[in-house]
Amino acid sequence: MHNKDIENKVKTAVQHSVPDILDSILSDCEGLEGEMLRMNTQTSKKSKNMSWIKPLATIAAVFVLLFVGLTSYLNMAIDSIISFDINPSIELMVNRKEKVIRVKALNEDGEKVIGNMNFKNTDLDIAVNALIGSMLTNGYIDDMQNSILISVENSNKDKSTNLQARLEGEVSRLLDASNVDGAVLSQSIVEDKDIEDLAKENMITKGKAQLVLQLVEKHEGYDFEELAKLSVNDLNLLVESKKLDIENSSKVGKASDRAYIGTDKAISIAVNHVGAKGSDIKDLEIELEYDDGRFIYEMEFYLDGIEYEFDIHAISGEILSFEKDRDDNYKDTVSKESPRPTSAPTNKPTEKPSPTSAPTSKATEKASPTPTTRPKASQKPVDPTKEAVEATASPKTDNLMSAAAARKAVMDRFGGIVQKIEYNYDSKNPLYKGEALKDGYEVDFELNARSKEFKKWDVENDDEWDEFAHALEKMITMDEAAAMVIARSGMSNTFIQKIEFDWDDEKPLYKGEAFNKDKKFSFEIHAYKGKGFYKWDVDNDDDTWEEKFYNIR
Amino acid sequence: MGIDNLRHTNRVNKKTDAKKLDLYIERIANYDKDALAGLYHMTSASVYSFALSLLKNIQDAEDVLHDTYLQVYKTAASYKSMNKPLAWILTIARNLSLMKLRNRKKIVDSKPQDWNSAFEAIPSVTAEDRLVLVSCMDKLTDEERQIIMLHTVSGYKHREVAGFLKIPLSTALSKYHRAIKKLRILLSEEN
Repeated sequence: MHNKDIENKVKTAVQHSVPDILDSILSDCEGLEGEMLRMNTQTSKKSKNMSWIKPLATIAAVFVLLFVGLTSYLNMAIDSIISFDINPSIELMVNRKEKVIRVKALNEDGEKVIGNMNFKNTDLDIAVNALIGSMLTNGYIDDMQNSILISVENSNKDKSTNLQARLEGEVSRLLDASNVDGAVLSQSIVEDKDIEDLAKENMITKGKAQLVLQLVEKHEGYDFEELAKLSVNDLNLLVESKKLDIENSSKVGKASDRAYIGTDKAISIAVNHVGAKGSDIKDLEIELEYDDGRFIYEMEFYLDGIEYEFDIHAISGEILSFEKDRDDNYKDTVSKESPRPTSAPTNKPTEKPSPTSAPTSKATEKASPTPTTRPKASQKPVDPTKEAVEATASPKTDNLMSAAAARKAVMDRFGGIVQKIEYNYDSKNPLYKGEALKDGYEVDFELNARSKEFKKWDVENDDEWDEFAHALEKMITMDEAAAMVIARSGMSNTFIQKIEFDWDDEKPLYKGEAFNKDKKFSFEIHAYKGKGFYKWDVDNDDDTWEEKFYNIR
Repeated sequence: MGIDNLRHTNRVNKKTDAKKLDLYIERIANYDKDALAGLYHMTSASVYSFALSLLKNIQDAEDVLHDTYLQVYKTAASYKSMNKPLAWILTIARNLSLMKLRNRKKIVDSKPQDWNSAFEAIPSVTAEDRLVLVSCMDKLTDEERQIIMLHTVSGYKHREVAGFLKIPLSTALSKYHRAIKKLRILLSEEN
């Protein structure tokens, strides 16, 4: 039994046991209005008498802030703390000029990586270069464990975000240069006593503690102590599998699942078990899950109107559990191409329906065969927002190419730089369109986000490259700019819908638009290294994501 | 309680639900009983389970459930929204529960309830529900039970649980872990 199943059982049991005493409450509320009025009058009188407190408190707060600010400034030899986690965990402390003050290994592997190297007063970039080099040489990053977590702690959020994006880009570049298909997860963290305690108790970095805590908070049934023992690659696999939004973080690359049998193998084990062919099964859902100290593939599919559920050990391939259940409604539901029969609309429209994570009508019926005989409330709840919150269950996710993968596909084929790329929403023919430049040439391309094939590839002679080629070394790449946008948005699944490089000697820019849920981000970033954002506008009430980009990253 | 209402009572700390609760409380301040009904349907499971965790007596928990909404009705005008409407309601429930404990003038453990019979008397509680509830009431410590109820029924995050119960986050996490382990063993044995 999974932890989330236990949680669901508790939830359901409690809900079935709650007495419905609304009628009695409503009847006892009659005549209380007068009492409420008297209480309100007393409250307002009280607040008048206390009115002198507010200005005094403000003055006191200003003094406290001045004092704290001055003290912090005088004491602030360490400006940022940067931690790197794979299995080796290393912490770097740097000053405001990004010179290394101290390097600390937080475990034995970290000590091995540092070895005899002395980083005092070294530039941060050089230290990072040396540490990543040593991790590669010592075999801590390979095809099986390719994820690295970078955490940046700085009291200045913008500085922290920029440094995070820069380091993410730099580490990705170093891994690429060593032909390692790495996955870099980066995050900004703030000083937090709770996180510090958790890190100490579990002997991990604060960065890893924050990542683990977010996983635990965002996913039912996860246990902190168990997850804290996992490698960053395993944590990254869970983030990907569960499509979790890790706050204040961004991500480049994909975690390696080569230590496990993989989804294809897991599917084939399940399909063979029921004596079917892979092409026969419908509505397959599979995800890597961690439960009770082991990784498993949780799988569901339909075959001939029967719903099958499997748990398969992710290392041995052993079938840990297997259930089947006839669903008479299945045929109708499928023919209408509506969401899965088990994914009845819930009040959590953005979450992927899961067979056990939320009560569905089916699950609830099973759990409660006895109809309630308690008195029903006479008044139905009225939605004060007048909105049908339950009405928008997420459509099924399409396997569309991400913006980062589209940029990479263009670069792999052409080289040079992507000058402009924009995703054009079309449910039948979703396209990335744009231009790329290299010495003497320009290409106009259209790339189908679903088939991942180029639909247009027109190469022409062009000398625009000459204008900015001399400055390329001084500029960040488009991927780094995109990572900065994602980091600043605070959500790892922000979609860079449009990004363009605009050359200007003094102020070269990356500009464009990104989306996440109801937010639209319009950005301009100085292309010169270390300059940061020039413009950052957030529209908090945009519905484009929901209509067009909900299923793409 | 119907299936739709069951869904309403889940994870009420989501942002949209917090907004809905805020609006309900705003309307309750103007004596709107429909809003009180809406609030009740969204939060009664949280209030009841938390009160039951503290009081360990079904009748007392029902009394607190009743009095909490009466108190909400009386004091809604003084509510200041800080995006934590459920915490406000649960604080009322906690205060009323503590008052009830004081009024009993006895340690609550001195008169244990027969949970099996108590839950058996509720028609909507299935045999499996009963096993889960009895395990929660009999086998978990008071703090473990409160943590489990706040996290699973009220949808509180671990950090929120720690804040509400005024315990360190690491304690909230490890006690939750211990409680889930206990329940896993108990429920697996029965199955």
